[in-house]
Amino acid sequence: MTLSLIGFAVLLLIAFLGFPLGFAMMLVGFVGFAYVRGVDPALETVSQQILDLALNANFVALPLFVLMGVFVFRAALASDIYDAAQAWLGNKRGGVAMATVAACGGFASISGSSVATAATMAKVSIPPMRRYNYNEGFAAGTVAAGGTMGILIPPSAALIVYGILTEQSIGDLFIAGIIPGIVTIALYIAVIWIVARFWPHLAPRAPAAPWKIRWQTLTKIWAVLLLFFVIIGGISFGVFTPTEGGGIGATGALLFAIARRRMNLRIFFYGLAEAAETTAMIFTIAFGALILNNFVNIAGMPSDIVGFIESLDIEPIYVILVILMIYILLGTIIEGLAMIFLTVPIFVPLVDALGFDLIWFGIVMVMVVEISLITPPIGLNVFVIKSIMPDVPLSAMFKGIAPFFAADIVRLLMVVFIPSLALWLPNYLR
Amino acid sequence: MSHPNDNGADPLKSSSADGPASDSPASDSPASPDPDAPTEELAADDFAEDFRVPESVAGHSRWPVRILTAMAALFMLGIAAVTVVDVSGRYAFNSPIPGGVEVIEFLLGLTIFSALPLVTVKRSHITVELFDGFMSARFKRIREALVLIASAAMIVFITERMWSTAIYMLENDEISLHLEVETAPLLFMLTGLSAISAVTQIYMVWKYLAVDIHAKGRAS
Repeated sequence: MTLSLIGFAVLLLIAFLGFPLGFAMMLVGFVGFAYVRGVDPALETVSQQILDLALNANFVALPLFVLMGVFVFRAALASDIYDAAQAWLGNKRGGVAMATVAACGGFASISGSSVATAATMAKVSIPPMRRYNYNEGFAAGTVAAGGTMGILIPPSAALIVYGILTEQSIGDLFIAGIIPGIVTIALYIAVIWIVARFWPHLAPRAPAAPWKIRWQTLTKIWAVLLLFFVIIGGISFGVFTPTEGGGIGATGALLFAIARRRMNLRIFFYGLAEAAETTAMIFTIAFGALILNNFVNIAGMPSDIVGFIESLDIEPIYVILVILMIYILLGTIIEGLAMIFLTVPIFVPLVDALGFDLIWFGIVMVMVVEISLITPPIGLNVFVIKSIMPDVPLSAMFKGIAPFFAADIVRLLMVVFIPSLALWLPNYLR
Repeated sequence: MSHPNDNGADPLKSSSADGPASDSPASDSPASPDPDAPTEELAADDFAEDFRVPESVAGHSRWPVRILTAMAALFMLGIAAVTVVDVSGRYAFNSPIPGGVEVIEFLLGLTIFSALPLVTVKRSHITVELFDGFMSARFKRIREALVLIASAAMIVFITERMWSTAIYMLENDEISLHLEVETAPLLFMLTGLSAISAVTQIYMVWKYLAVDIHAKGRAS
């Protein structure tokens, strides 16, 4: 226990100094393992873990969905999704913001990344919100928060990574994210409705689109709907594995990009390289996380903590709440995937030992990671939006995020206390 | 040939990794508190820009980077192609590629390790830098040197691990599970690619200590 704590202290120190997180975890994991079991077994573990990950067909889903994301981005499906949402919701009070949230959800259903979702949707939704005199901070907050759904609504890079690290079914994790994703869209829209109701000047109405146009926009989003239903439907009903879904998704997105004349050999080539690089980046850190995980386990940390908690004689759910508090605090300074890699080795064995469902915890974890993307002082999504609207101060953006943060806490507690929001669908389908 | 003007800021850099500021330290966040951060432009809409070798390490590395980029892209293409053929084979003709899964596994390893030097040279490893805003320039320089040296040590370590595994496999004539091909050559390839990352990182250490650290204002 003491040993693990020293390990984590060292890890945090060197990671905060800017040492690549993957290397930092690898180093601490290796040294710790060597201290407990000796150098030779530790050396053995390092090569074994690296090869187990790097040569494992189960994890091919990650590069394939990354590739799909690259092609989806190229195919410029985002503006079609937004146009449809805008045509149907725009004339409501706060409607352009509602359309943004709905479109973010739509884009998230074909993208596995929150940052990509925020960046892409900001490009198409910020100009209309500005045109209709939306408050800029609120507009920025809407996209930043809406964008976080990228990793909750499947496909999701974060859920794949969680699945890899915890050996949970990636398919189940994907399906488990669907209902919480819908809840998120609903809550965000409710938040916008409330804001527009009480502060109408922040989110004015836009003119209504004629019905003809409304129907027209729907005919344009068939590509997105097709991709989503084939991939997620296919995975849900067990027609194919997540890996196969990734392959089909990447091919489908590529075909759409070609059909829309937005693909050439050069873009294709760089898209592949882009996906390869992102894959290498994520796997490097995954190597470290698993080596660290090994050390934490042999050092007996999870069982020690569980023993300690049992001696306190408190309800396990309080432990979860404490963990979530830690996550939200940690999330103010650590972002996205880094948070998953850093905390899975610590918390998941504990959560498992306490008897909680790891699919459920995966969704909960992704939701706190979403929150980390929009909480100051470091909120990656906010920075992305800031790069698109540099004239709006960060403070105004974080202010605009505040109502969505409140909604985030509500939905987080909903999923924590009503686990079936996440678990019902995967259980029903299996 | 049409040159699509893409519609995103630069989500490509982070298109799947919702990791923190992960490109180069220069662009760690648009809201970087450091106003005199190096001005390495992140071109908004040119894919190729993402694959430019950072100025600070350019030197003679342009061609190696191109070759490695091509390799990584081809391995990635291989993964996608084999997966798709495997799937369609299984569902359409009820006959998957024999050993297809294993081919994909090999390709995954090769993709990761061939892209690793690129991640290294662009410094796009995921980091959680925290003490950035309020450190003296001198401290930053020392930290930078330490981070580079320690990273180099870790990559050398990984390379050594791959090498000794390769030797072990060679000595024991290990063969793969399905295709029953020898696995040592694959491991030697991974070792080689890993060694390229190591050399790259060591070059970056040397470059930093010999050149950059003396140039003012580039130490962040």
